[in-house]
This record gives sequence, structure tokens and C-alpha cells, in this order.
Amino acid sequence: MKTIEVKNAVYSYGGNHNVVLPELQLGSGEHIFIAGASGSGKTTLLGALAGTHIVKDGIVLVHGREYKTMRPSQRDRFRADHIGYVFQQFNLINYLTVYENIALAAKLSRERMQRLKNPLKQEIEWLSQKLQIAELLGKKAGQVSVGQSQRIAIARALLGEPEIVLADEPTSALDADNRHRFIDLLFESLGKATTLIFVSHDRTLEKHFERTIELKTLREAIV
Amino acid sequence: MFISVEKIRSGVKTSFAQTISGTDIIVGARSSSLNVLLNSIFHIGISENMIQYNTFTRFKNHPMVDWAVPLSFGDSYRGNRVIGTTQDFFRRYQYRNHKPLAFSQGREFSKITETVIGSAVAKEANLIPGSTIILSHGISENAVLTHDDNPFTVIGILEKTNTPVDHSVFVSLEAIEVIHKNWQSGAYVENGEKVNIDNPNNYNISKISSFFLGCKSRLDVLTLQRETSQYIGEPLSVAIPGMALAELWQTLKIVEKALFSIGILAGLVSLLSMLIAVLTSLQQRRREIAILRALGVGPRKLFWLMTLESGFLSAFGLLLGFVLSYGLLFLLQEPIEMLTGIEIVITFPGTTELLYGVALLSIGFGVGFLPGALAYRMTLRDGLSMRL
Repeated sequence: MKTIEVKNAVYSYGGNHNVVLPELQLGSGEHIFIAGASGSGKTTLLGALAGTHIVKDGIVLVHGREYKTMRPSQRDRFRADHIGYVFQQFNLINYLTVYENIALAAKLSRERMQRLKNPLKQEIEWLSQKLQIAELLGKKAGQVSVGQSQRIAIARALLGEPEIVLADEPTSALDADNRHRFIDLLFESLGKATTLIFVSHDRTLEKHFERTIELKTLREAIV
Repeated sequence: MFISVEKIRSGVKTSFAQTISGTDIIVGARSSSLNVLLNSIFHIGISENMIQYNTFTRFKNHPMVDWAVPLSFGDSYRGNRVIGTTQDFFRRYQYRNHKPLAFSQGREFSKITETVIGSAVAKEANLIPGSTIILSHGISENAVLTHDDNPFTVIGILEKTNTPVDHSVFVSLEAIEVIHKNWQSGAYVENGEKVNIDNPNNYNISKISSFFLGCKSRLDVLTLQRETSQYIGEPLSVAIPGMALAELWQTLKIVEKALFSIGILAGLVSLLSMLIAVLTSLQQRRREIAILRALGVGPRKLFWLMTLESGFLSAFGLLLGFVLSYGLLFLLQEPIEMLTGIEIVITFPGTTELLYGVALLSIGFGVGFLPGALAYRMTLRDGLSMRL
């Protein structure tokens, strides 16, 4: 079973404005780089995989399930249980501490909480050591730097080893040196079975990944 | 704010109503019952007409009358009313549920040159028993004409009552006569003749302003009221304190309503500003909402989060309001009393206030529905993208 399967998925944005994703297949543990400038369907793709955009036509299977057939609350549940998400920036809730921000992922999903091999506190400490943010745990999230906050976001996305991690240009707010360092840390912390989808327009990062897909080719057949 | 206004409102009402008690009927010269009341109790306005002293003696000896206290106005001391009366005043005047007057220092006047003063007068002018005061003619604050040939000695100071009594100077009826002996048409006439206060003929009391009556039985009050108001000897106006006060309060209803409206408006304004604050923060919160969405929080949950927030905000605000207004009232209780004579009784929040509180709280939650609903729609539209 593929972790992600997309076939001729058509998304409607009202009227005749459609976005089509012809084909995408990803297996467990694959790390894929998706290149494409904004406006190339990035939002649609991520929304499709996260379950906030629902297909008009075609198939989107994530972890063998189809969002189309789920109720909205089930989609939210599914996302909480199986997907880690990293935004471009502003990943943290500022009035919570770094620790609380990371813990949120497990607190909002029973499944991810149960998947932890160690107690939550230990797990978070381990992850944050790997991502070099251990000393920040007690701080308020509003006080950390952009680079730190992106790493904290990864810790949250990886907590409880979700099957899929979606990263939406997570490096665009970082300077060049930090970008490569960021990706190294990301790979080091990633579980073996986790499928990573990394969207970026920065082609210099491509070399870290096994496979690159152009969003353009992904959208080749525009109806 | 709402609570403070409400408290002041009820405070005003009760202190008005509690100014006099135990007196069944007040009789004054022809005007209106309200006028008689305002004049005799609250020292507001001037009594243009006087009544004959023998009218007073006639009613004093009426079979239904238990006691009678005459009152005579017209002079002042530093803006405080001078009241000519008898010693009976101190025994008969009652305020706030039949509390009698009491002396904090000294005793009743027994001589013509002696005076008893209210607590506020004593405090204002720094008077102690033994001090000498000179009364002014007329009731204006800056009286030019003074009774400097007849100084009075303070013999007693009354305890604080929070009624106009505090701002009064009491002398005997005879004293009023004596100091006006050489006055004609409101002006002092110099005739070189010193009034001999030892001669009773020099101070035949002829006229007074009004008098209080106490009935032997409460059942006689209405009968006596009719008799006094239909008195053939001269035209009289009669007031039953309780009724007249209620009447007075009726006329002040507008003020009461205004105070009430102010309270309502203050509540509304605060709710509106809360709504605005929450709505403004909603824009800044789009990130937070997106984060929570990515973590699997559904739109419905977000809706409740937003609503709950408003609810908590109003609950917290309400609590703060209670604490603040009670604290403020507690602090300002003394000064307000001193300045206005309105005694604000601090009581545990009554049913009215609790009711308002509950109403405000539910409106607060209701107001929360709006940002909640907006957040709900926004999450559905935005998905996971952060539109900033």
C-alpha cells in the first residue's frame, strides 16, 4: 500500500477555475522534494493531502483512506493522528511555552500520544535535543528566533511519528546557512517510516532529497 | 460601573426615605405638601408664609396629638440653617427606623443664648461646646446682615445622622424672637434699646414656620391630616412624611431612570468594546487558528473556543467589576456621605445585581457567538493556508 496516491484529482475553486493533480504516488519512508513557485498549485496539493481541500473528481488516497468519504470531523481527527505539518513561518502559539507547543501535537491526538515509546516529557526532551532546542523548552514561544521556531515546529510535527510530514516552504524564512543545517536536522530526526513531502521553490535544497517533482509536471494536464 | 450606579441609586433612595421617621404629620403655611416637606426636613427652598403660634398650640392640645414640635426658619450660620424649636425636637425627631437623635457632646439648650449644632456644622467651623457663634440674617451663604448683638454659646453637639440635621443649628423659638426684636421688614433698626432677655414679655412667640405632629394612634393620622388641612383659622399645608417622600421620589423618577440607563449603557458599551477587541484579535489569530487546524482541531471546536473566550472574558470582567465597584464604594463611602449626605449602604449583592450579572454574562456569551461563527467560516475558507 502506498502512503499517498493521487490520480486525476480535480479541485474546484468555483466556476470554471479548476486545479488538476494528474498523478502522484509515494511510498512509506520516501522523502520527496516538490519544486514550484507560489501559484503553481502548492496550496491545493498541501490542502489535498491534509484533507482541507476535497476533490470534485478523481482519487486522493492518504494512508489508504479517502478524505472524500469521511465526515469533516473525521478528517480533522485523521489529520491530527497521521499528519505533521510545518508552516512557512509563524508555527507557534506565542503565549504557550516551547514545551507546550510541542506537546500540543500529542495532546490533540490520542493515537499519537499512544504511539510514543516513552513518556511525553522524555520524548519531547529527546526530540528537542536532536533538534538542538532543548534549552528553549521552558521559554515562551514568542521569545525564540525564527530559525529556532522552525525547528520547534519540526519537533511538533514529528512527535508521535506520524506517517506523513507536510512541510510548506519551511526554510523560506531562514538564511542560506541555516537552511541546509535545518534540513540535516530534519532528516536526522525523521523516523524511518515517515513520508516527507517538502515543498519549496529553492532548488538548492533539492540535492538532499531522493526525488524531485515539479509542480508544473504534476499539473500538466489542465482541463 | 453598572453596579456602582445601581448602588448609588438605591443609596439615594433609602437615605431620602430614611431622613425622617416617627413623625406622622408636618404642618406648614399654605404652599404644597411637597414644599412643606422640603422646607421642614431637607431645608430646601424658603417658607414664604408663617403660621400663627396659636395654631400650633391649638393642635398641640388636640386630643389625638401625642406630641408637637414647632419649627422656625429664616436665619443661617455659615450657610447652615438655623432652626428655632423646642427641646422636644431632640426627643421627638427620629431618623432611619426610629433612631433618636443623640448628643456626642454637651446637652440640650436650656437658655436663650444657648445653641445645639449638628455634627457637620461642628466639624466645618471647628466648634466645641463653649464656642461662641454669631448667626446671619437670611439663609444665603454670604449673608451681610448678622445678629452680632446676640451671640450664641454652643452647648451641645449632635451625633452624626447623615440627614440635614447634621447641617443645622438649633436654638430656642424664644431666641429667634429675641434676635429679631429690633428688625423690621428684614432690616435691623437701630433704636439703641438693648433687648432685655430676662423679660419674658420681650419674646412673645407669635409666628413659626411649621411644626411636626406625632399622633397617639396611627389610625388618627388621616383624620388629623384632614383636620389640619381644613383648619379654619388660617390656610395650612400638610404633609405626611412617608407619603410626601414617596411623592418626591416619584418626581425624581426621571433621575432614577437616567441613572439606570447610564448603567445599561455602560454595560452595553463594555460588551461592544469586548466584541471589537475579540474581532480585532481574530485577524491576528488567523495564524493560531491555522496552527490548530493543522494539528487537527475542527472548525466546530474553534467556534466553541472563541465563544468560551468571550464568555470567560465577560465573566472575568464581571467579577472585576464587582470587586472594583465594591472597593470603590467602600473607599468613597465616607467622602460621599460627607459631601452629599447620601449614605451608601454596602450590602452583599442583591438579587437585582445578581440578575443583571447573569444577564450580562449570557449576553457576553452571546456576543462570543459572532467571532466564533466568523472563525468557523474562516477556517473552512482558508484551510491550512495562512492568509496574512
